[in-house]
Amino acid sequence: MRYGTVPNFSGIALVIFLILLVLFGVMFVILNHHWQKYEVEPRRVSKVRFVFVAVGAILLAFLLFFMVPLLP
Amino acid sequence: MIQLLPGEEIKIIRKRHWLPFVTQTASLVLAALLPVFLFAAESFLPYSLQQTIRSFETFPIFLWIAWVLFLWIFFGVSWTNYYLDTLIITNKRIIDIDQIGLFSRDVAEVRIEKVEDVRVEILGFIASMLHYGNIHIQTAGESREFIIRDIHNPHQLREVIANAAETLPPHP
Repeated sequence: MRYGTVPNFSGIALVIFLILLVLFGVMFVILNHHWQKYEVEPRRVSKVRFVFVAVGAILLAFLLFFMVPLLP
Repeated sequence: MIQLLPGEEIKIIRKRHWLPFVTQTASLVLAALLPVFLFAAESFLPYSLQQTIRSFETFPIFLWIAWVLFLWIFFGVSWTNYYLDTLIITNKRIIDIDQIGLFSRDVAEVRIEKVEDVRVEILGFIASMLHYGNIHIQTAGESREFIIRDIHNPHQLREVIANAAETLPPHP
């Protein structure tokens, strides 16, 4: 790569984003199943679910925000 | 959830101690912050390399957030494995639930009348200060020992087991 040229990371960024989106969705379904099936105090499940999804959604939104400038 | 036997009542439910989990979480936080330290060290690199890195635009930040998201998912799994480890002592049984992994769960139980000896083991300065340790339960008729690890206030649990054994009805 020559200095001064801007490398194109759009393809890699899109693949990473999609992999993480699918991974997060699949892991949420698996973890939610565990929380609901084995949790001793059911009231805590909704709070845990909210925190896990909220933080994940914020991070995904940031990923999207920083991915957009990389797209052609 | 555990199905209770007729006439069975729960004496105590105890989670694993938080310290081993916090230690694991600290390593995840360090792993999340590691790229930040690398970004900060950029100014020590040769000028030409700095220019190359800057030409990547937002891609390093994108990669860092992707890494943090991956660690967040890993944290979710780690917390679930920690939180679902549960010790339940009833007036009839000791049930130790060990969530080994997402698809691996070990539920071991000992009937109170089978308990012959309960030994508490607290190893090290930190464990002594924070009152956590292991409980070794020797059972009748079985050679293997039943071990409950990293549990808060094991002396109290030994008392609960002893009380449960004393209140058992005598064998006919």
